[in-house]
Amino acid sequence: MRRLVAVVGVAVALVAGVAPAASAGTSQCSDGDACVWQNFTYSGSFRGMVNDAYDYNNIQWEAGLLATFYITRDSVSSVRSQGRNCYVRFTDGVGHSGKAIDFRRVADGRDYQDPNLSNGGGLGTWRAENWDNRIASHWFFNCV
Amino acid sequence: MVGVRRRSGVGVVAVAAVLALAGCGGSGGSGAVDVRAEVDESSGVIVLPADRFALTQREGQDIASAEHVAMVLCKRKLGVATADTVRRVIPDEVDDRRFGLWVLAQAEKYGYVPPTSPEKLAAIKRNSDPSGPGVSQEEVAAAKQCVRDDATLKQLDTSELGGGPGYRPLSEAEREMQESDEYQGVVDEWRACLRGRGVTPDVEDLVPQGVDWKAVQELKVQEQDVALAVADVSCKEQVKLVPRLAALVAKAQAPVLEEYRDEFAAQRADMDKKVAFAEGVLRDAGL
Repeated sequence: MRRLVAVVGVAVALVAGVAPAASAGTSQCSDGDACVWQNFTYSGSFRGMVNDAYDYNNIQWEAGLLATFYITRDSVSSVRSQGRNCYVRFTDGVGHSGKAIDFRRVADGRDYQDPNLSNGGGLGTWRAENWDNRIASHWFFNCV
Repeated sequence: MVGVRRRSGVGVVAVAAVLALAGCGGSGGSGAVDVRAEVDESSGVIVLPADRFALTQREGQDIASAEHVAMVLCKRKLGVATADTVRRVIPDEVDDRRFGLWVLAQAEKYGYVPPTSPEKLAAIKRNSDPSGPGVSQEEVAAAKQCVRDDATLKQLDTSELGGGPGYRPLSEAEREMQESDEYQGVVDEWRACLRGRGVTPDVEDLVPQGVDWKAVQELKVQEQDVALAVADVSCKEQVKLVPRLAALVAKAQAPVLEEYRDEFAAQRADMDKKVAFAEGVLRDAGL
């Protein structure tokens, strides 16, 4: 969590009259979406994305105090993979470059979300690393 | 279709680096760790030493397919409705971008748009269809029960792979290498090449600035993105960025793999068992 960014974001949002989301948590995530939250435990600003995303610097939060601000590559702290028919791979570089961690689907019953990326998360060689404030892009794979 | 034609079979592999470590020179020989970095532009495949202790893309797809089959069968056994059917996952194209885009043929034809088969495009479309089938709470509960109780799913579980004591020093060794003057010197050569072509490199990633990622995510091939991609990849080729960085990362990985060789070997053996088991599940399902 980037506290400074959050604080500035909150201040700007309040000045701009942007209302915080009424609710938070995994219920914000819709079927088909790769979902990201600014804070741990699926809290703070939120964005659900039904397609691949190549650069979080150019994608805005859709709900929460930072709504309409860009996610950026260093602010995601929890994630959920609610794709209907695909896994989600999150990478730490723009354009799917760098290292990656994978998440299955909700329908698979395991490894589909992580409330705290600081202690690792998902599947794959790099799953044990600290992934907090690190995700920069994602794409869907292993589709059925 | 958005796709890059790949040569089938085993490609000619350009071995980017054969690192002579004391007591372990390449593959084979009394259980020595294979510390070569293999880079093959014709197939788009990059293999670093640690990759030999991870699931390949094909192996990952086989295990995912087997898990999918086992999950559908388990849900059916529990009498829970699911939109999923018994089938394999759709194979993804080889598109290794750990060092960014690097295959010139791909850059020239599609820019940064990933090679995607028509079957996967259809799947992505289904995924984004708001009227498509969702997952009921009953199905989620059944899936969790299957994960907990189904012997096949338990045997296929890959959740614990990649988490042993050797992975932290492996990550640390890679990070140190990426921050080294040697590594950054190669990246700087690529950046200078790009600037020489009038293109501004990204400050953090191995991509140029100015790519229209929104268009890329919509799978739109745009002329200006193709021009950036060609400049990007041409510069990577000019300074031999991928083989050189691959060799440096391999050099960083090698001593860690050697130190924790038993752990990594045991993990690879576990993966081999899971892959063989997955192939059996798929055979039994007629896939």
